[in-house]
Amino acid sequence: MRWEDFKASLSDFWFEFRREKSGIVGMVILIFFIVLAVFAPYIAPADASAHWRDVPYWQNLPRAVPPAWTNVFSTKKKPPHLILQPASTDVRQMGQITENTFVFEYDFTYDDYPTDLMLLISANITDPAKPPTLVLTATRPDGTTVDLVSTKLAGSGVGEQRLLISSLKDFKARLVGFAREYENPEVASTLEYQLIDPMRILFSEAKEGIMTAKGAAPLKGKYVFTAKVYTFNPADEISEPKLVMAGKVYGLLGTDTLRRDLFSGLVWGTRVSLAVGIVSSVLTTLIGVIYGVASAYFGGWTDEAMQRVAEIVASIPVLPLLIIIFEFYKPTIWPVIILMTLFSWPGTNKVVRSMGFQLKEMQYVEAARALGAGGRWIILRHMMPQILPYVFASIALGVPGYVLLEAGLSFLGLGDVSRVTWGQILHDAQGSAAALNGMWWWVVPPGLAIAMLGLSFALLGSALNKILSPKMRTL
Amino acid sequence: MGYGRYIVVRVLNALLVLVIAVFLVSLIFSSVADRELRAQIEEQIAAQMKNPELLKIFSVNKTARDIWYQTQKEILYKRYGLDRPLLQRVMSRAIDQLKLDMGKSHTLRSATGSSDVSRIILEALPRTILLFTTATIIVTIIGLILGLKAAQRAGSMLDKSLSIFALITYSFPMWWVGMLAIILFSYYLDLLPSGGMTSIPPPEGTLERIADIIYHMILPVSTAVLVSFGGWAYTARSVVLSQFQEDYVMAARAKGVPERKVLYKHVLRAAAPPIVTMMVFGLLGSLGGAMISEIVFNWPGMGRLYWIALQEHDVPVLLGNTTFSIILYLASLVIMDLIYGLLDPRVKVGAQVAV
Amino acid sequence: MPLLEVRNLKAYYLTSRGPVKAVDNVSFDLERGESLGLAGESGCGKSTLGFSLINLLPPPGKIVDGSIKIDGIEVVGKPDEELRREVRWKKISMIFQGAMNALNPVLTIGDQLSEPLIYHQGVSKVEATERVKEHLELVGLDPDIYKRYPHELSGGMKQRAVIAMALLEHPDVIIADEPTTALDVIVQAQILNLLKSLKKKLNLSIIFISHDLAVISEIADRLAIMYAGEIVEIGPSENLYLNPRHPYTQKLLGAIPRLKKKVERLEFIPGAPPNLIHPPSGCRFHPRCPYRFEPCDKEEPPFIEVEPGHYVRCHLFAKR
Ligand SMILES: Nc1ncnc2c1ncn2[C@@H]1O[C@H](COP(=O)(O)OP(=O)(O)OP(=O)(O)O)[C@@H](O)[C@H]1O
Ligand SMILES: [Mg+2]
Repeated sequence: MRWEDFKASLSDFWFEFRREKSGIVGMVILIFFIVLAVFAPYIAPADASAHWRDVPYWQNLPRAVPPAWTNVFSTKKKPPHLILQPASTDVRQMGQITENTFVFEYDFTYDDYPTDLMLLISANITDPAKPPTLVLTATRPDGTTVDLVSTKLAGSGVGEQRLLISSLKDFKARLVGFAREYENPEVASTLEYQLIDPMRILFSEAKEGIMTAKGAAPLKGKYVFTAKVYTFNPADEISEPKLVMAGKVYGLLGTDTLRRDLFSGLVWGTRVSLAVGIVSSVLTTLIGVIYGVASAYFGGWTDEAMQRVAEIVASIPVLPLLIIIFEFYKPTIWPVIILMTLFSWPGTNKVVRSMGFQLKEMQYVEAARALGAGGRWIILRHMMPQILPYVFASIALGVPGYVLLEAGLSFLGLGDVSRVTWGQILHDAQGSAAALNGMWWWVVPPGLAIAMLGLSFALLGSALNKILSPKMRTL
Repeated sequence: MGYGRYIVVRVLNALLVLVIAVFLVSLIFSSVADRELRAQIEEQIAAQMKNPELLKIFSVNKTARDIWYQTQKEILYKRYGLDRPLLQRVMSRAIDQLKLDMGKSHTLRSATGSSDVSRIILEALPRTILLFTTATIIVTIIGLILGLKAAQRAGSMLDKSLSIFALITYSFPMWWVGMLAIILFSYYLDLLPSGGMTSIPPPEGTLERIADIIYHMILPVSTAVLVSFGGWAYTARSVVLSQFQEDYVMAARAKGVPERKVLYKHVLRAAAPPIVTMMVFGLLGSLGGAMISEIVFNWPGMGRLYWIALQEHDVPVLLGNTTFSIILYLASLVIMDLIYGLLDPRVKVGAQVAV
Repeated sequence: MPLLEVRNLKAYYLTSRGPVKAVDNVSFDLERGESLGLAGESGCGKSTLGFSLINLLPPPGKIVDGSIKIDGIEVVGKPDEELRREVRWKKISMIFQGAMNALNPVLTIGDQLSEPLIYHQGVSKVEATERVKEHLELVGLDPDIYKRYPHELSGGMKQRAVIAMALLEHPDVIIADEPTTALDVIVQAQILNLLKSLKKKLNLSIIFISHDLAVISEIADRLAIMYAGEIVEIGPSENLYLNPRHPYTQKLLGAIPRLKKKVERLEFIPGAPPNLIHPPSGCRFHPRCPYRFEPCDKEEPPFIEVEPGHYVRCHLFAKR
C-alpha cells in the first residue's frame, strides 16, 4: 500500500467512524482511562502504588469511611478528614526541661463524630533514655476541660512520630471518667466497656446519655486542644506538630479497612488493567493471525496438523491452569500477560485461516502464484491488507476478556503483588466482607472501572466491525 | 462419520486434552515443589549437623563431614522421591491425579470428617454443578426467546436495547455484580440471604430443605443470569438474523410456507447448530466467572474451595481442585459437542463435514 | 393476452445512501410455452427483476411502481398472505441462483419438497410424498433421495432437486436464476438438457436468467439484454444473435468466442458498470459507448422497434 492510499483510506475510515455513535462513546471512555493511566503520578500520590501493601504508609487516613461527597446526599453531616496545624506555638525553657506548647483549634459543626484522633510530630531526640512526654488537654465549647492523655513519646532517633491517641487506654479511661459524672449511673454500670466510643464522649453534650450511641448528642462549637510536649535535653527538638481529626468521610472514593485511599488505588490500577488488556489482546491476535495465515497458506497436511494443535490448545481450560501457574510461580505483570496469551490465540487463528482460504481460492492469488511469485509475497501483498481490518476489530473485542481475566485472578489473590490492581482492591474487599457490611464505596468503583474499560473496547470493537465488515464481505 | 463415531472422536479428544492439561499442571507443580523440597532438605541436614557430637567429629575430620552430608542427602532424596528423574515424577503425579488419588488436605475436612482431597472435592462438585446448570438453563431459555424476538424485529427498540444491554454486560465481572447484589438485597433491603447454601441450622424435612436451598440460590443464580443472558440473546439474535439472509429462507417464502413456519421450522432448526457452537465459548467463559462468584456468595462449591485452598496454601486441594475443574470443563465441552451432533444432520447422518 | 405481462416495473433498494435503482422502467411479455432469456453484466438487476416477479424482494428492496400480471392476476400491491396462498409457486415458481443455498441444510429433501403441497393444497403427508417422488424421478433422481439431507447430495443432484421443487405445482411461469452457474461444465450441460426436455415435455414458460450468453442461447426463444436496471434490447433470439443492434449487445456478443465455450466474465467492456444510485443521465450506457453522440447524455432514448418484435433502446435508431 502506498502512503497516499493509506492516508486516503484512513480518512475514509475516520469519516465513517465519526458516524458510529457507539464508537465515539467508546473512544471517549477509553481516552479518559488513558489519561488516568498516563497522569496517575500527578492525579494520585506518586508513591501510592508502590506502598499499597505498606500498612504504616496509610496510617494517617481514617479507617473504612465513605467518600466525602456523600455528605451532599445525607442530612447528617459527617466530619471530613482534617489535619490541623497549630494555631499558636510556645516554647519555654525550665532548666533542662523544655516545654513546647501547641494549641490547635477545631470547629466541630457536624452531626457525627470523628473516628480517630492522631498526633503527628517530628522529633529529634538525643537521649533514648529520656523520651519526651506529651500532655494533651481539650477545652470544649461548653467550657469544660478534659485531660485526654499524658504519655511518653518514642524516645529514639530522628523523624516523624505518629501517635494514635484515640486508641490509647489512657485516653478512653479518662473520657469515660469524664462521662460518668453526667451519665445515669445505672446505665453507666451496665454498659459494656468495649462498646463505649471515647471519641463520641469527647464531642458530645455533657448530659445524661453521653455514654451511649443513642443518647449522645453532638456538641457543636470550637474545641481547643492543647498539646504540651516536654523534652528533657536541651538538644532535643520538636517541630511540625499536626493534629489529625480522622473523618467519617474521606476524599473522592473513601478508604478501606487498612486506611488506604481507594481513589489512589483506582487511579494506579488503571495502568495494570490497560496494559494487560491491550498487550495481551495484541499479542494473542498477532499469534493467531500468523498461525492462521501460515496454516491457510501451507494447506493440506500441515494445515491439518496445525489445526489439530490449535483445537487442543483451545479446549485447555485457561482459568484452572492459570491459577496453578500463578500460585506456584508468583509472576509479575509481564509473564502474566504472556501466560494469558498462550492459550487464547486459537479463536483468531480459526477466523483468519478461513479468510485466508477464501482469499487463496480467489483468482488473483492463484494468478500471482502462477506468475511465480514467492509465497511470502503472496501473503503480504494479498492476504494481509484484507485481514488487517479484521485484526483491529478483533484486538479491540479481545481486550475486555483479558481485563476480566486479570481482574478475576487478582480477585483470587493471585497476580502481581508489586503494584495495585482493581482486582486486588476487590480481593481485599471480599476478604474484609465489605459487601456484607454495605461498604459500597469499596466495592462499586473498581468493578465499575473494570466494566467501563471493557465496555469502551467492546463499543470500539463493534463499531469497527460495523464499518469494516461490509468491506470484508465484498472481498 | 456417523453420530456414534463422532461421539467417540469427541470423547477421545477430550480425554487427550485432559491428559495434556493434567500433565502440564503436574509439571508446573513439580518444578516448583522440587525446588522447595530441596531447600527443606538442606535445612534439615544443616539442623542435624548442629548436633554437638557430630560437630566435634567434623571439626577434626573435614572429609567425614562431606561424606556424612552426601549420604544424608541421598537418604532424604530417596525418601522424597527426588532421586528419580523429573519426567518420571511428573508422570506419576499426573497418573495419581487422574486416578483421583490426590492425597490429604492439610487444613480441610469433608462433611464426614475425611481429609481425603478427592472426597472433599466430590462433595463440592455437585454444588457447583447445581448452581451452574440452573443458571445455564435459565439463561438459555431467556436468551433464546429474547434473541428470537429481537431477530424478528431487527432494528426495533427491543433489538436496540438488547444490543446495548449485551454490550454493557459483556464486560461485567460476574462476581462483582454478585457483591453489588449482596450490598443491595442483603445489606440494604435485607430480602435475601447473603450467602451459604442453607440456613444455619438447616430446617427439618426434605421439602423444607429443598426450599431453603432454592432460597439461597436466588441471589447467585439471578446474578449469573443477569450478567449472561444479554450476551446469549445477542448471539442467538445474530445467528438467527444471518439465517434470515440465507437463500433457503427466501425459497421457503417463495414456496408459500407461512411466516411462522419459516421462523420456527426453517430458521430456528438451521440456527440451532451455530448457536450451540457460539455459545460453547460463552458457557465455558461463564464457568470460570461462576466459580469465582461462589466465593462472593460463600457457596460451598469448587470455587470457594479454590479460595480457601489459596488462602491456606493447601497444595493437595489446589491440585485436586484444578484437576476436577479441568474434568468439569471438558465434560461440559463434550456435552455441548453431543448436542451439536444431534442438531446438525451433517454430523448425525454422517457425510464428510468440512470443519 | 400474454401469460405474463410486465409494465413499467420499478424495483428499488431503499438504502440509507439513497435508492438503488436495480430495476427501472422494465416492460416485457411472456407467452405460454415460451422461454425468455435475460442476460447482462453482474449487478445489472437480473435477480432483482426475478424476485420482483414473485413479489418477494429481500429488504430493503421494494417495487415502487408498475404492474405485473400473471395470467391476468395483478401481483403488485396484492397482500402478502393472498400472494402466498394464490400466486407463489402455484402460478410462478423460481429456481434460485446458487441452488445449493436454496435448500435448508438441516431438513431432508423430502421435507422441503413436500412443503408447498402441504401448505398450498392441503394434501396429506403420504400423498405429498408420492408426488414428490414422482417429480424426483421426472428430473432424473432416485426417489429414495427423499430421505436424504442436502449435504449428502452432489451439486448437480441438488440442482435437480431444486428444479423438481419448482415444478411441483405445475406453475404457469418458472424463473430460473442462473441455474447452472455454480456447476462444472459437464453437469451444467446435463442440467441444461434436462431443462430443455422438461420445457418441451411440460410446455413450460421459462424466464432464464444468466450472464452467460452461450448458456442462454441453448434454451431461449427470445432474448432480453439488461443494462443498469433497464432492458436495452429485446427480441427473438436468432435476430439478436445474428443482428444485434444495441452497442452494448454487440459488445456482449462480440466477447463470446463463436465456439460454444463458457465465458467467465464480461469485464473487457471498457469502463465500470454504472452506479445504480446515481445512474448516468440520458442513455445509461453512454459513458462506455463508442458511438455516443450529442443527445446520448441528455435524452433518454425511446424504445424503438427495429424489426417486428425486436426492440432496442438507443438513439442511433431513432427516426428524426
Ligand atoms: N439488499 C440490497 N441492498 C442494496 N442494494 C442491493 C441489494 N441487493 C442487490 N442490490 C444492488 O442491486 C443491483 C442489482 O442486483 P442483482 O442481484 O439484481 O444483480 P444481478 O444482475 O442478479 O447480478 P448477478 O449476475 O451477480 O447475480 C446491484 O447493483 C446490487 O448492488
Ligand atoms: Mg443475480
